[in-house]
Amino acid sequence: MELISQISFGLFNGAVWGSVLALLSSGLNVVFGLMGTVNVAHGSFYMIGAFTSLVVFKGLGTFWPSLAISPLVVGLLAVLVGAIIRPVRGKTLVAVMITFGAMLTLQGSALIIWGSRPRRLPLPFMESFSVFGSGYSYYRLLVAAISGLVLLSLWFLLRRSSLGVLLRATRADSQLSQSIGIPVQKVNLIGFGLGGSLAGLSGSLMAPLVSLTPDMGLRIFATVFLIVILGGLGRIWRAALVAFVFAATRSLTTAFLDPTKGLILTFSIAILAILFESGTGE
Amino acid sequence: MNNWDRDRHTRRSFLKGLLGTGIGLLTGSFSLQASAASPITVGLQVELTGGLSTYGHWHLKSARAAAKKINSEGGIAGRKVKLVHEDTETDPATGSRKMRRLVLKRGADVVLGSQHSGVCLASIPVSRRFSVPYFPIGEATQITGNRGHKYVFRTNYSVEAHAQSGYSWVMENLGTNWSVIYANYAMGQSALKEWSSRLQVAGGNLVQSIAVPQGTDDFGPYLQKVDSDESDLLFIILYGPDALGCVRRAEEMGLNNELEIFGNTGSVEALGVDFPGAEGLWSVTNYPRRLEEIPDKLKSFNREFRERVGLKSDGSGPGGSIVDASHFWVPWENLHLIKMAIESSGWREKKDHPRLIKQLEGISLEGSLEHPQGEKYIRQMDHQGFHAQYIQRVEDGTLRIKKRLAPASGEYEPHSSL
Repeated sequence: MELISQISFGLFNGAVWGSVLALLSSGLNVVFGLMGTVNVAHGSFYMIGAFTSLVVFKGLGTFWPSLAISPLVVGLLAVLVGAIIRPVRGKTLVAVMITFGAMLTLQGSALIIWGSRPRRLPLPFMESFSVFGSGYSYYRLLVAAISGLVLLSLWFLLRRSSLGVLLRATRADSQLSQSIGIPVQKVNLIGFGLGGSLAGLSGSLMAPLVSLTPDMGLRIFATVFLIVILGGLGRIWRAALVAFVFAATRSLTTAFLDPTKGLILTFSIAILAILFESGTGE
Repeated sequence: MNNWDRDRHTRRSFLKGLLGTGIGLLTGSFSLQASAASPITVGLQVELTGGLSTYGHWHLKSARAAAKKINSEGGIAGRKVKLVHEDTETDPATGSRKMRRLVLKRGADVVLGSQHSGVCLASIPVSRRFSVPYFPIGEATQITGNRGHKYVFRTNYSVEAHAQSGYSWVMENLGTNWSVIYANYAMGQSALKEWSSRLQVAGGNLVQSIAVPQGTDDFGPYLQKVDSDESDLLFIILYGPDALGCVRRAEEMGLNNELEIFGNTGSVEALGVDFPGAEGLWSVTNYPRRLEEIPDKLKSFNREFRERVGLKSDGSGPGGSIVDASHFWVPWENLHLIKMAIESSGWREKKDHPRLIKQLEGISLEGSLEHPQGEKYIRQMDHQGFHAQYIQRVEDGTLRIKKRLAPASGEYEPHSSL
């Protein structure tokens, strides 16, 4: 019985965490799809989103407005980074280095503004329910629901809206797009802002659940990057699926193995999946 | 060569010798004067970025305040103190490199060491190689155990001293069946070993030990493993964001209603405790966060010490930052200890280090402005310091001291004889 409850808790908890990882990885994916570069500052955007929630909470005394304000703030920040990258579009390594610089700048700025002391935000509501004998906050369910809803909206935006058509056209062939009058530069910036907004929203959603530190984005970036690589750069739904599988695997291995072995197993599965994917890709 | 020639040659040699001696005496005198006037360079190896930067921030303040006080009072043996610092980035490889830099490039005569045990262990060979007195703060037992040497002095507690001092109180007051959740690296593993071995020898039961990687965001799967039916106590060996995350998730999962929760020295360091999940949390510390909790005989010293460092009576500093109460006093005290040892040993330069070391071995110190944490002594055999520590609890959003444990309570068998 205890075994069943541990497995069930692991799967349930993995699904909730997977939803946030999927949301965060979708932002990274959108930017890569458009700009062809890995935005190393994506984790820092997540961190800024979380700290924006802290500022909003301290200023207004409530958490909820930050779910709108954080994506807006981080989205604008991302547009700025996108504008800096624009002249070097196509020079992948240079663009990555610029985003790396942006990451260090944002992390350093957060350290100056908020210090290195871990910060916390209270849960927006304290009510919880029992999941196989352990208390579980309703807020976590809300986070999963919002993440799922936003992912669905993103899919509609990219597949069914005129903006989505422009974004996809630009990604497919920017020169041809420009020649038929699509404002490619503008579309790219919108895409960068969209990716940043998704990171900002992820940070805001997670702010009441994690300890807020300037390096929190760096910690999660490695996981998100791996998810995007496994899911396929630019392929949002596959990355979302990988995020769920990854989170559930980690949650389950944690329940039965020590963390080192659990991490080795999780990453071994990931490496095997990459090798398998590469093999089938050829 | 006739006698005259020989005599003349002798006179010339004599005159040359006289001249040489004169020049020698003059330059020697100048050299001695320069030595007396030149500053004593104290290196500070400090975590200003990375996981332990909340500690480093206060260590730098504490060392700077001590240097300022000493210089305003005429320096050490009439020489100014020049404090130079390097950021270890909370990384052992970087920390070791910065230790070399302090010694070789920045001319440190002595080095006040890091809070990070890994950095300390990586820097000890540098201290040995260049024969530089080193005062690490990291708590790993090996620093004054099998890895220590003649030039290493740790004036604050080790993990083993904490366990030795606190385990029987915890068993008597919080329970004998422990579930331990610990950081899966040197400090956490060392603390688990020291506390749990004493628990078991004393007839207690280690129900389970759960390792957690550093930087964990999701404590749910780890805490779900805690057997609350069999355990009286959840013992947390974590620090900073991990400790905060663990305590909050334990509350969400309802564990704080089922078990007592006790944290090691790092568990509430630099953290605010005015949130529901922290209520009732027990922990051990080297120094009370709030001035009013300081023993009466030390209160006036600590009032001035805190003013000089920039710490308010509630344990907060500028911008609402919260002090790492367990360790921030160490650089202040160590710099004053070095001053006392230099002045009483007649130390002038690096070749006099053996005299300085002899002066420090086995020394006892009384509580004073220079040693605000209180009385302590440094054991001659392994250069390990022993001082009081405190058991505290969060009540109504405030840390309250519940028990003071005397310096000798932490004494354990030395692992080396230097």
